[in-house]
Amino acid sequence: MITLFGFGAAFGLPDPSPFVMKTDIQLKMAGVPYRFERAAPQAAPKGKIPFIEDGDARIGDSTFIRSHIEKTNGVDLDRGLSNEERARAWAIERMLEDHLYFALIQARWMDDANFAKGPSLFFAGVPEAMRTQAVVEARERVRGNLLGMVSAVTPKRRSFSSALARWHHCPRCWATIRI
Amino acid sequence: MGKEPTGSDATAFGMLAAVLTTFFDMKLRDAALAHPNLVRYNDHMMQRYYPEFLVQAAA
Repeated sequence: MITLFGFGAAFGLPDPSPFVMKTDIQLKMAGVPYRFERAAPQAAPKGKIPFIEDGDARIGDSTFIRSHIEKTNGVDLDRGLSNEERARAWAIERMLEDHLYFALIQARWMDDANFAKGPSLFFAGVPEAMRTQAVVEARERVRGNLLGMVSAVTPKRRSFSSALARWHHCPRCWATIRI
Repeated sequence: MGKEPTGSDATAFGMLAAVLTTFFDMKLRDAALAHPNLVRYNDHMMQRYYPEFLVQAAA
């Protein structure tokens, strides 16, 4: 049976990671039996959560996981979509994961109050003597990654609302036409 | 897209749920709340996949 490794419920969510929620739901959509386990990124094949174990295979990166699930179970999670819709869906996914996600990380990690009640909890297991240093280093790493993502830092607010406005206006997007 | 959720809906919802959680105080959340369709979409998907986490967003 497949094991999905994630962080587990936190921040009022089934999982703090959008990518874990994505894979979790895609496993449900595929109708594949699986179980959930908590894991730390250090244990992951690519240093990132989520990852899955399926027999001897350990697969990281939610997009590769989806592809593995579809191939090994003969399912198509985009069934019913035309080629054009598939292309559009993929473009939307890229916008969300490569753009909007970094605005989310900025809000969680760079805002002191959000950081204190959110991501700082990830360091609860670090021995106290080392914790402050670990937190400082991790935030610096995240800050460096964000600086590499121009969209997330300049100019802050316009970036959020422009991503959301495009999402809103996406002509065939689920949210605008369906519900 | 379509009548039934597809693979991309899992991606979109995961991201949106993380944006809309009431746990954090985020301008990003306020921006999303300005789009009622996104809030409805979030609630609909939450109800379907994680009903125990459904919170009526105070829009």
